[in-house]
Amino acid sequence: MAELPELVARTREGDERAFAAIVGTYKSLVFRWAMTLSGDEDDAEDICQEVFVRVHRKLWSFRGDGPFEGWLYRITRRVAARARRSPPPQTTSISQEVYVTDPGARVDRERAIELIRMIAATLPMRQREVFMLCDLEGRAPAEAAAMLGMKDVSVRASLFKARASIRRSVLATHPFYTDQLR
Amino acid sequence: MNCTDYLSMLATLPVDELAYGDAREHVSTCHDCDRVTRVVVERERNMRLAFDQLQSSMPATQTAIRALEASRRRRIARYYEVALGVAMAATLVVMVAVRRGNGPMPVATATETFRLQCLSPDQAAEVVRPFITSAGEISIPPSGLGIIDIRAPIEELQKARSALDRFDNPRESRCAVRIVVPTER
Repeated sequence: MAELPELVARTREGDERAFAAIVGTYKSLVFRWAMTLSGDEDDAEDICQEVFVRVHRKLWSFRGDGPFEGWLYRITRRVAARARRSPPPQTTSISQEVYVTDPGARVDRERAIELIRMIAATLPMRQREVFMLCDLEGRAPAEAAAMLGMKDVSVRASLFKARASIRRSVLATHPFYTDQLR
Repeated sequence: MNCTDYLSMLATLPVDELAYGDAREHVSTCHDCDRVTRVVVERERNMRLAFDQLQSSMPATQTAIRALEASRRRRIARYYEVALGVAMAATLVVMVAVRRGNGPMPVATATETFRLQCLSPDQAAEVVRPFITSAGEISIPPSGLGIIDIRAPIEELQKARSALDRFDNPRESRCAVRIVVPTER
């Protein structure tokens, strides 16, 4: 498979296969980001779609002097923020579940979606982003800071708060923990 | 370190940081805290796994095709928007240029001299003035003749004429001579 700079260059020249390869590589990542930012599966699908429309239209502006994922994350963030401001569409859409045929995958998927909903419900947006990038994706706080346009120290502070909130929500269901801290 | 201290640390610190010093000592001797720690570690590991496995239900190729279509549509829409904007701006520029080049739009005017039968030229001017706008003009000859010149757009001229017909008519105006013929009995 071609390297990203080559795919980007070919997409700029109008190669649709190269663009499809970029989508294939980053779709899951963008979907996970969109899920965490929106907390809703349908919204995440819409955000994901819109992100790739913008990627195709704006790829000329990607200079390649920073990581592609950072550029992609900023687009996802903007699209998600815009989706939060706009009212939900009135039209009904065909359920996306039609593509999932493996029952095991469906169970895993539902668990994962439930997890994201829990994170979205527990954490404010900034902490949610930091927790996702650092604790769930395993990025260094400095990398997350660059992606979010924040200071390293602010990322660490948000991460500490996020982790504490998540940990408390995990422990809150444990009888020993609740007995000890009662 | 007691259980409460350890659990309050567990509630905020990364698990790795609890693997040293007093915290490690406590958890190695306290079965309950060890169990809770294992729960937290397990839950966080599962969380990462679940997150990694989360996939969009729409295939990437489908997303790519839709994105390409939408991008193409928007590009065409953008061309139309730009073309429309340029056309509107050009129209505006042309309109302004025409306006500036020609000055105010000329109004067709005509001049008519009215012979006054009863009113003086000044009185006639007063009668017609409300009907004559800035585009027109009323001239009273200095010679004192019973006439008045009116230059105005055709429509205003007609109004002035009908006003003079009404007020400068010897049969209807104040200056009319009323001849009373005595009747025989």
